[in-house]
Amino acid sequence: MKLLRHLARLAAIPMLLGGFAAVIAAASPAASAAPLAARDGWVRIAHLSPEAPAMDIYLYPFGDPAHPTVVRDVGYGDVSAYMALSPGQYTVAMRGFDAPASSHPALVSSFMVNAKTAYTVAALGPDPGLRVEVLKDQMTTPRGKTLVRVVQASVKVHRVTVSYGTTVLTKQLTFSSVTSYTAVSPGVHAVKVTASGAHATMSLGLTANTVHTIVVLDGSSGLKADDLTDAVGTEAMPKGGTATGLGGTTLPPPADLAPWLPLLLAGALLTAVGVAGLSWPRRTAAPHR
Amino acid sequence: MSRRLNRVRLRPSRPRTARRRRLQKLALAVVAAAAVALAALQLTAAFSRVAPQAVRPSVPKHPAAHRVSSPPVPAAQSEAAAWIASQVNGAAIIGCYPAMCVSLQTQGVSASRLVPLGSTVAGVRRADVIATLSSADRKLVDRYAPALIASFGWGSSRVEIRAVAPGGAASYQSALRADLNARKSAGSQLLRNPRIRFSVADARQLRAGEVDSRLLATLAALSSQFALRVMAFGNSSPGAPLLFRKVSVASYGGGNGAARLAAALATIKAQEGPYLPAHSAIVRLGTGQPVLLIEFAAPSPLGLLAAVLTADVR
Repeated sequence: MKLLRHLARLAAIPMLLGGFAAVIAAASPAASAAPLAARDGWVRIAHLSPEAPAMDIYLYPFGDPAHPTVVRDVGYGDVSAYMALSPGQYTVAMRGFDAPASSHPALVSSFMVNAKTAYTVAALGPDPGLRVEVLKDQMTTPRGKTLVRVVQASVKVHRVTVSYGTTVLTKQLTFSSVTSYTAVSPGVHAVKVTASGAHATMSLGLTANTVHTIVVLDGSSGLKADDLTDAVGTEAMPKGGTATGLGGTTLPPPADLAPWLPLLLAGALLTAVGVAGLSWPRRTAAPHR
Repeated sequence: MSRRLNRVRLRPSRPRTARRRRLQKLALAVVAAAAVALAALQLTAAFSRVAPQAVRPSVPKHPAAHRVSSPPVPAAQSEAAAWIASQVNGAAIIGCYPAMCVSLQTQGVSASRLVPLGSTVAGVRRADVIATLSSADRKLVDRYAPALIASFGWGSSRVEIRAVAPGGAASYQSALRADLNARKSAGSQLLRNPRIRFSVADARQLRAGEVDSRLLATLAALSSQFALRVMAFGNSSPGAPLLFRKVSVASYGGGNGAARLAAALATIKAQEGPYLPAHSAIVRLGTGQPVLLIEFAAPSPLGLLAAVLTADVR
């Protein structure tokens, strides 16, 4: 009988541990992220207005504006990583860098985030006169191809012509304009930016099935071009922005526990059985005293 | 003595009494006629003020009513001019027929914002908003200015205020449908916002997509800082499809509601571009409750809630 009680206690411990582990695993962000990833949209923020100062950018969801997504200290040329956002309507607002959240925001745009869709919220144009464009980012490519588009964000030159290898991506693109995507053959080629009295060249290796945005910017001396990766391969989630150190401060959305409910119940059952197992010998032992 | 004297005076006046009665009857008749005329005038004026707001600009159901309520052309014209001066975006270029251009200038609209409408399309295409008589060239109007944003008066003297659609009627209708869907969706999402309270009627209007997109975005942003109660949405566009460009909101929750409304007003006034309302102020209701009034200018822009550049592939 003593042996039986020991065995019951020994069995109860792993049951308890297993039960807790199952509950914790089901409630963890990693677990909730998996089903959400399939449902979310992705947004990154880009400051492409050379004359505008650094700013904090807020995305207010219509349904819950008390929890905005905030990207702080976004300066010219900065592009944030993609942030997962719940689908829905958002108002885009700007505040000066480090301005308190209680200060007056400047409303600049409003857009709908759809599931499984990626967007770039780009501040473009002169300041004053800055505007925010929301660009829908392509996430898939024609088989074996690379997609490239161009954003003209230089005020030093008004119009630019951009080519990748022998492919002319755009001619005489005006300031604060965005092209459609062009399918190009993957490889390592030169990106050439030419304008009246200025030019820039950079070598860029593009692999198949990737999507890119080339941004023409004002460099410290003349023009420069930056490559942003919009998507890689057939990943469900876009690849992220340049390594600018920016990050969203979005709060995690509520976990969708439905797919994990059986595991949760099993965990709870295991825990209950474990608790019962630990206390059973005492209860059964009492009558024998 | 006095009675006698009176009698003496009265006796000879018998024939005069009959005359006086006739005079009294005449005076009564004149007064009655004047009253009827005055009532008729007031009725006509009242129709010209109220009818465009209450009734859609369709053909009147009763021909007799049409004849009675039809206001003189200048009345509808001056009402339309006053409406444009107070409601239309201050940067909008307005196309107008000659008499309307004069009325608009009388209302304080700068001549530099006016473009005379001729028989060709050139005038229409240079304008953002046009004011035309309903007897104007329908093909031209329907093709380039399909969006009716207000109307005044009746029949051939009806003055229509229309927004010009640069892309033409088909493109406008497509954009209108997309905008309506976006407003319905955004309005429904706003109803889930725990920091804004709506009445049942307001909720119905939000779900139906009847609230201007600038108001929706503004309410969403304001609610990030303030807990609000929408008192009512308002429509300031008589004789046009329903679209609320005006809202009155009160603060709710504890603390100093008036101070919160003042802060909300400051936020509203700090906006630029399409998000800067034409009018905003704090007023007190009859109960003494302060409310923040926000009104955006006409015409309501389309596509503001779905301002996304698509990812085309060449």
